[in-house]
Amino acid sequence: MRTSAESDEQTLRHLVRQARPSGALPPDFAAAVWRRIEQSEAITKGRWQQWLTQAAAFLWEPRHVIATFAAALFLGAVTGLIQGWQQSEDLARQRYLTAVRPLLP
Amino acid sequence: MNPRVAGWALLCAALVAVGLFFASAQLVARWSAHRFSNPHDDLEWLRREFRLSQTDLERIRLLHEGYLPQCREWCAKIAAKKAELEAELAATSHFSPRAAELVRELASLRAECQIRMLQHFAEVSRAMPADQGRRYLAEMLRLTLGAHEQTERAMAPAVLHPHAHP
Repeated sequence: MRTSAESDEQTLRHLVRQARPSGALPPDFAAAVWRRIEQSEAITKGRWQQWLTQAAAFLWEPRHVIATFAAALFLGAVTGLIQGWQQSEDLARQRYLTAVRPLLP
Repeated sequence: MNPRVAGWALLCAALVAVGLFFASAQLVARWSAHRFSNPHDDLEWLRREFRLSQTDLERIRLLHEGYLPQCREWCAKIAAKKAELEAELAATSHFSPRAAELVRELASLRAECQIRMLQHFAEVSRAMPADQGRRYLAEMLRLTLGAHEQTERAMAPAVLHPHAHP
């Protein structure tokens, strides 16, 4: 008597046999694969060039370029303030030490 | 726009932006370090580092202002003794007994000056809240005595390997 599991396995084997590709590959299969790779590279390169052109066009506007440089200045100033606060502690400490221990380096 | 021209334009803009960023950071850091350090007050570091109240700070200011003239007086004595020693060394071609005496006197003055300085640190630490006072004293001992320890440590290998000497 056949069990249900054996029956399922038979059905699966049959399906796998049917799904297996038969026959040779088409004659221009390799060329087609390369063509698809090249097309995909061309699309990527095109997107990059498009982005570059758009970014340059954005900066071509005087107000945009001024805003970009102003943002760089602002961020630099904020960074400078943070650094200045840290350095000021060293300066203040050095001043106190110079006042109270003049003999030492 | 030609992609190559666009690339160069973007590169130039990026270089200018980076230059502006670093230049402004440098200028503002220099300006604000000087300004935040409160250059007119020697005690600014104590106030910030040890989170002193106005009352504590005023008490410490009195001690500080009392200590400074004494400190200057000792410095003047040390400078005079040093000048005397230099004159003695310049006057004779050999190391005279008087020069040796002056070296001892100079060392004694320096030691006395250091004792006064450590006494001042102890006084200031007592004028602070207990925790901060302990931290202040430890920090000042590290910063002042530590300078000598570095020199002594640098000399230590000669002491640790006595057999290396002839």
